[in-house]
Amino acid sequence: MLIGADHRRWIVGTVITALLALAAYLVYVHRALHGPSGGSWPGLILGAAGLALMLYAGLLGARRKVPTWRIGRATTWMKGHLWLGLLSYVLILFHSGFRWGGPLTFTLMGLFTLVVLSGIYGVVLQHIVPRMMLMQLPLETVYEQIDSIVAQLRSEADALVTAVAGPLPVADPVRASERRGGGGLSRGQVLARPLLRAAPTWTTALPESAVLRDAYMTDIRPFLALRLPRTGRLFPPRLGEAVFLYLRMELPAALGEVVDDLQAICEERRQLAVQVRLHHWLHGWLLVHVPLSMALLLLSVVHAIVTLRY
Amino acid sequence: MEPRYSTKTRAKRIEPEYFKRLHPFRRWRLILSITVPVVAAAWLVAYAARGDQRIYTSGPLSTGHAMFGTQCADCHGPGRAAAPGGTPTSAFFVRVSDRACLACHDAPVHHESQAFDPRCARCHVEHKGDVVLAALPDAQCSQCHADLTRMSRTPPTVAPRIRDFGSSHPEFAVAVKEQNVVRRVPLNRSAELKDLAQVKLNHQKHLKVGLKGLDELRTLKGPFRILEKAGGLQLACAFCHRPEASRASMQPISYIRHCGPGCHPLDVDARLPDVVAPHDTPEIVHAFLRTLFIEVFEQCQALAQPGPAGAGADKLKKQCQDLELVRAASASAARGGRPPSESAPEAPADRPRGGRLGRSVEAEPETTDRPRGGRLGRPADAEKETPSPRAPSPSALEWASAQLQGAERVMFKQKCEFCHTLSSAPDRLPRVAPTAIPARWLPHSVFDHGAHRPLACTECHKATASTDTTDVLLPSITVCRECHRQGGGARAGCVECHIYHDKAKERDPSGPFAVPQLTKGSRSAGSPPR
Repeated sequence: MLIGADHRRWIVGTVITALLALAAYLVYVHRALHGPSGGSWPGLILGAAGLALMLYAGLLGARRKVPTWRIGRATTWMKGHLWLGLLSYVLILFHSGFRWGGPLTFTLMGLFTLVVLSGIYGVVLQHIVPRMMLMQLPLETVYEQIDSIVAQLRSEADALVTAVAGPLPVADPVRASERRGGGGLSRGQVLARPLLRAAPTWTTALPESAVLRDAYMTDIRPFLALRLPRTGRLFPPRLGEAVFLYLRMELPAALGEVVDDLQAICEERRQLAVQVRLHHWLHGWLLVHVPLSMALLLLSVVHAIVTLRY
Repeated sequence: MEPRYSTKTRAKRIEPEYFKRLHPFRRWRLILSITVPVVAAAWLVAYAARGDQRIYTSGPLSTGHAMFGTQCADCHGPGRAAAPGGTPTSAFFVRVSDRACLACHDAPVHHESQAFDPRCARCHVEHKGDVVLAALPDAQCSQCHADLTRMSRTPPTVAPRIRDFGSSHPEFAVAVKEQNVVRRVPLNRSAELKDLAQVKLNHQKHLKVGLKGLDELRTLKGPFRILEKAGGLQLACAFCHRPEASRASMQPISYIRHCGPGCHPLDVDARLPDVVAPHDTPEIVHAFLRTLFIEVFEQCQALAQPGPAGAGADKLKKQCQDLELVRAASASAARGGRPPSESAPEAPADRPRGGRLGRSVEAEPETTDRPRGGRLGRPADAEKETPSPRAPSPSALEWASAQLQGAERVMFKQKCEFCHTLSSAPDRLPRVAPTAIPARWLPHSVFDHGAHRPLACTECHKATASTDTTDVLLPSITVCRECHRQGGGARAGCVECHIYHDKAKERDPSGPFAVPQLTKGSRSAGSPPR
C-alpha cells in the first residue's frame, strides 16, 4: 500500500492522538512519585488502549482471510492496520514507562519492536519495489505461476530449436508436467509467433544450425531451467544481447526469426527471475512480521490477564 | 525488444485456479505463524509446570526480596503469613498487603499526629531492580512536609514547610537545655548557641601541634591517631572521637581511653608517686584516699616489726619517711596500739580497687570509665583486694584524716575541677555536675561518619578555632550543601539523613516463618514458635 494523500486524515489523527498521549504521559510522569508504572491507573489505561489497537491491527489477517466480510473496505483496514498499529506501539511505550521489565514484558517489547520495524520496512518496500517492477518488468506475471511459465518457455524454446536443428540431445526435453500449457492453453500448445506456430517447412536439420544447437545447449537451455544458474552468460542483459548478436552473425538470415524468438524467451525468463527476487524482497518481511505478530498477540493477552490479577 | 505476444495472450499461461494450491512462500508463512506462537505458549507452559511465575514480573525484585520472586502470591494478597484457606482474595488487582510486609518487617508509626498512614507498597515500590526500597524520593516526604500546617492534626513541632534539602530545609537546630527547659536553637543563631556540657575543654589547645606530653603519650599508646606534623606531634580528632561500629555516631568520650592517665593522671600525692585515684564520684575517691592512707600508715607501722629486708622494704621505708610516718608509727606503738595480728578482719565496704600508673592503659577494661586507683610497682596479683586483717587503729584513722584533708583538696580542686564543674558545701564532699555531653546533637537525623571518611574532620567541625567549651562545633547546613546538592552533587534526598519509621519502636526480630516456608513458599510447614 502506498502512503499518499488519502492517508492524510489517518496521519493527522495518529499524530494528534500520539501527542495527546504524550502530554498525558508527561503529566503522569511528573506527578508519579516513583516514576511511571504500567500497573498504575494511567499506565493501565494506556496499556488497555495499546492492546486494543494491537488486536485491531491483528484482525487485518482475519479480515483478509474472509474478504467477503462487509466490514469496511480492505484499504481502510489496511490504513488502520498501518497507523493504529504504529500508534499502539507509542501507547505501549508510554504504558511501560520505557522500561522493558521482566522476562515476559521484555519479550513482548522485543517482539513488538521487531513487528513494528518489519512493518515499517514492508511499507518502505511497498513504495520502492512495485515501481521497480513496473519499470523493469513489463512481462511480470503471477508469482505463484512463475515456475509453470518458465517450464512453458523452455518447452517453447525446445520446440523452436528442434524445428531448425533437429532433435536435441536430451533424454526428455520437456517433462510431461512442464509441457502442460497455461490456463488458456491446451496440453502441448505453446505461445509463439504466428510464423512459428505454422508447421515448419524443413524437416531436417539445417547444416548451419550447429552453432545454434551448441549455443542453445550450452547457454540458453540452462538459462531456462527452473533453478537459474548464478553463473549464466545470459542473465546480464548486455551479455545476453551479445550472445544473440553473435548467433545472428553466425546463422543464416532464415534463422533470424528463431534467434529473435529465443532472445525474447530468454528476456522473459530473465524478467521472471528478477520478479522472483523482487517478490522475495517485497513479501519476505511478512515471514517475520506475521508470525511474530501472532506470538505478540498471544503473549500480550496472557500478560494482560496476569498483570491485571496482580 | 518487441514483445512476442500481447498481455491478453500471455494471460492464457495462468492457470485459472492457481491460488487453490499453497505456494511455498505462503506455506512457510502459515507454518511460521503457527510455530512461533506455539513456541511462545510452550515457554509459558514450561514455567507454569515448574510453578515459577518469575516471567510475569514487571521488573527485577530488590536484592532482599529476590527469593520471593517465584510466586506472586507471596507478597500480593495476604502473603505467606496468611493461614491456609484464609480470607479469599479477589480475582484481579490483588495488591501487596501490609500484612504480607509486616510478617517480616516492622514499621512503627512515623508520627503520632500524621495525617494518614500510607500502605507499605505505596512508598516502597518493588520491581524496580536492585534498589534500596527505603530510598524514597523527596516528593514522598514533601506530601506532608511541604505544608505541615495543612497536613498535621496538631501544631507542627518541626519546620512546617520543607520541600527539599537544597532550598527550603531550615538550618540545623540543636537542643539546648537551660534551667531544665529544652529549646531548639538553629546553628545560625550563634548568640543563643551554647554547648552546655559541663566539661571544660579547649579544642584548640588539644589540637595544637607540638602539644606537651604527646611524645610520652605516643610511647604509652602507640603512634595510632597521633599525627606527625612539621612542627611536632599533633593529636588527631579521632584520638578522642571514634565512630561507633555502625559509624552512624560517635562513641562517648572516655576518661580512661581519651584523657588519662597518659595525659591527665589523677595522681594523689607527690610523696606517693605510684598511686592514682580512680576516675569516679567524689564519694568513691574519698573512700579510696581514706583507705589508701590507712593502708600506708599500717604498712609503715609494720616496718617497726622485725622482718625481711629488701628493695621493696627500702622503698616503703623511704616512702614512710617522706610521709613522716616512721616516727608516727613508733609513737603509736609506744601508745600501745594493737599489733597487726590482733586486728579484726574487716574490709572497707566502699574501697575502690586500685590501679597502677605503670601498667598499659589498654590493659584496662574499656567498658568502664573508672580507672582503678592503686599503687605503682605492685604485682598484678597484689592488685586484688584482700580484706584488711584488722580494723584501722585510732591512730591510723587520725593520721589518715589529717592526710585526707590535704589530699582531697588537691584532688578535687586541682584534678577534678580541671575538667569538671564541682559544687562544694561545708562539711560534705563536692558534687560533680553531670557532664551532659549530648549523645546526639541532631536527634531527628542520622549521619554516617564512615561515608565522610575522606574529609578532614576540621573541614566541617571548626575545632581548631574553638577555645570555649560552649562552642558548638556542628557544621551549618551550608557546609553540607557544598557537597549535597541537586544535580551533580552528592545525594541530597530526605532519606539521606532522615528515617521515616521510628526505629526506637521497632519490635525484636522473631518472624513467623520456618526455613522451608521462605525457601519453597510452602504454607503447609508449621510456623515456628514466636
